[in-house]
Amino acid sequence: MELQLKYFGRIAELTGKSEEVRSAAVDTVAALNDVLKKEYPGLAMASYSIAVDHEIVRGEYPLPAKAEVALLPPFSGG
Amino acid sequence: MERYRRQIQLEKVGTQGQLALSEASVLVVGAGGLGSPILQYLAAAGLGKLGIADADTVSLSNLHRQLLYTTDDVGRPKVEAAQQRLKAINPEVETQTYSEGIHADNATTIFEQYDLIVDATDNFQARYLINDVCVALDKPWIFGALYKNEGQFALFNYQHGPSYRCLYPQPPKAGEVPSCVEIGVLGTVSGIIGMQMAQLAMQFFLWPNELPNTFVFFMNMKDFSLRKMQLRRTFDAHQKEKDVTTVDTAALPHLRPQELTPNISIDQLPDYQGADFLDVRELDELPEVPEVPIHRIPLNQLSDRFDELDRAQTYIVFCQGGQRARNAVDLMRSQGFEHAYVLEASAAVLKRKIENSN
Repeated sequence: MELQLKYFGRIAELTGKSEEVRSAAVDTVAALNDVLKKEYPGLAMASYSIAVDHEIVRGEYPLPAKAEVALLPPFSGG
Repeated sequence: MERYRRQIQLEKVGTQGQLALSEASVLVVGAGGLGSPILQYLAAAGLGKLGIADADTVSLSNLHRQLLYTTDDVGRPKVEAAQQRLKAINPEVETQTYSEGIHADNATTIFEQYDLIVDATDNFQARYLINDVCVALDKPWIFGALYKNEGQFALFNYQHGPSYRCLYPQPPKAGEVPSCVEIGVLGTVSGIIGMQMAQLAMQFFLWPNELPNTFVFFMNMKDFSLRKMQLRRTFDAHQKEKDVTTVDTAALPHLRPQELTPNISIDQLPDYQGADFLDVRELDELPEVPEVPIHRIPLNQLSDRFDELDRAQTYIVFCQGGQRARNAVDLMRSQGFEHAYVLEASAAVLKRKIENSN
């Protein structure tokens, strides 16, 4: 399944890019997250929420085809 | 009303809208990079009452983004300088200051006195405290935070909408997410996010039935993009607690930052005779504390400079408001400095203590 991935804040620094298109044989957000953590080991130490097609979701959420998946870390500064 | 003519002229504001603003009360927690534009614009717009909570003093390195203050204010308590400036901007606005900032013991009592709370702080302890107390009180609040050229903002806990814990259920680990003090920030970036928060606050009183209370906004100032993410209310742990007097705020997680890290009070200093002091403020911050042997390593350099310190030594760490010292001690303890303690006092208090004991 082809997915549009968007990385925000420090996550973009951990992955070295702010977006990418990739194919992954996964059908849930949690499975995708495992794939990404293998590819980018820095993610294992990071906190973030995940949005699928502009909606914040939890792990077992099913991924629709061509979904846009955003990894959203908390920001601290003020 | 002449002062507000140009906003009253707007068809969806009118005298009714101005009246709503003049009867409104907003507490701004944190008078820094976000709080500064929020306070300035809300005061200018004629909000009825503005609360300002901050325990810090103005430092020179604040001024590029905190336009509420001038060079002459350096060294003054922020709440005092802010109150004076807001009075000059608009003497019709009532202001109330809280020079201790917000903590677990005063948050509930203070929040109850305001229609809307604005989180303009720079740390997670304060943010989760604000969230949990607002959820317990059923009080709406506006959130905002920065990372380099990016910002987040939202209206939380309004009309059964989601709160911050629906976005991030638990705080990140200490030291995981750096603050502006550690990584820097452009004044325009904190200004833009502060203005978005101020706009939400204005609309809260002007158009209360048209608010984006189920979204969190992510803005990238470098590529000028804005994304709106839908968020559902998933964290309802406190929702049943309608009777707020039964909520034990001390029992809520992360409400007492001083208990997360080992602290010593200024009166306990004589018990730590062989200890070294470690000042984690920026190098230009005042006052200087020159009378004792001091390591001065700004928090953002600390992780690169551990080899200048001795893991067997006892360190008493201080800053201005306490937050950076807590972060430093959390970081040090995670790196094997078992005898690092947070001093429960600012540099100014320590300086006075040393001068009085000499």
